[in-house]
Amino acid sequence: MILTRRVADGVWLTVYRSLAIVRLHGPERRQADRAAAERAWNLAAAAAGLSPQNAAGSRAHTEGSGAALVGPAGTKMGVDLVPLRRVTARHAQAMLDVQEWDAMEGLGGIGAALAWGLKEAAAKAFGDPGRRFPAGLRIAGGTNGFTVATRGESSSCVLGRWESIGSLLCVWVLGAP
Amino acid sequence: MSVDPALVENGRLDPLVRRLVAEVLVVPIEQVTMSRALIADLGAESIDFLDLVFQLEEALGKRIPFTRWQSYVTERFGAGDLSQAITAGVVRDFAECETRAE
Repeated sequence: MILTRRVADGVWLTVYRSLAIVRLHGPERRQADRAAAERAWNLAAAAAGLSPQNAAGSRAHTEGSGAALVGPAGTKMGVDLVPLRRVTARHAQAMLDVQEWDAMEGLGGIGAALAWGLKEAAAKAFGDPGRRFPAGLRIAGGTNGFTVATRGESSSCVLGRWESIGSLLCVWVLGAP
Repeated sequence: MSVDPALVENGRLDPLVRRLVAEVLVVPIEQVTMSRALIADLGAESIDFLDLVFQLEEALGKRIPFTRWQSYVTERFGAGDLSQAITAGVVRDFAECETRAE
């Protein structure tokens, strides 16, 4: 299954999902995941009218599926794909403070996965994801949805969006160009 | 809650970490050696590291905030490539630190 659509001016999102449900693990899964993300990247770049080599953006993969967010260079953007069943309340509690946890209230079953995805996507958007995620980022609720900011740098903030795709949650964040 | 010091002294951390990594990543334990990269070689994702910390909490019998793992990795590897850097041996070293921490 392929989903490609414009999510902001000049910014395109593609999610590529293998229809073949194959339970891969270890290095084989990583290889399949990376291939899916590469395919999503190429499709999103084509939709944006960019060559894959010159496109800017973010990619994500999990469980044989891939996602890519492609847009103008200089735009803060990040994407994550989260298996809904994989992120539990225990995961969320380990990475959210009380205010963040309160902000996610009312989202029912997707709250934990969305919190995880927002922080992952934002970590990619801000750069150096391995070190920012999760404690270096703060989720806040607002009238336009959720924002994610770097802690201690209130001027650096991105806006989060999401879409459920079967058993996956695709989460992306965008900053001002 | 205190950690059993024999875990470190008797060299029981290596097999424990190998077993936990194999369980979390759903790979055969034979594939898990101390030098294999968890991301690049064994397909770990970010959430797997949180699961590993949860498993270590239970195995060591003490609470381990995830931020401690994050700080450990940051201090040890700085700006290095984490996909290659984090091995089962790194998890073992972290677990060893945790057995000694208050």
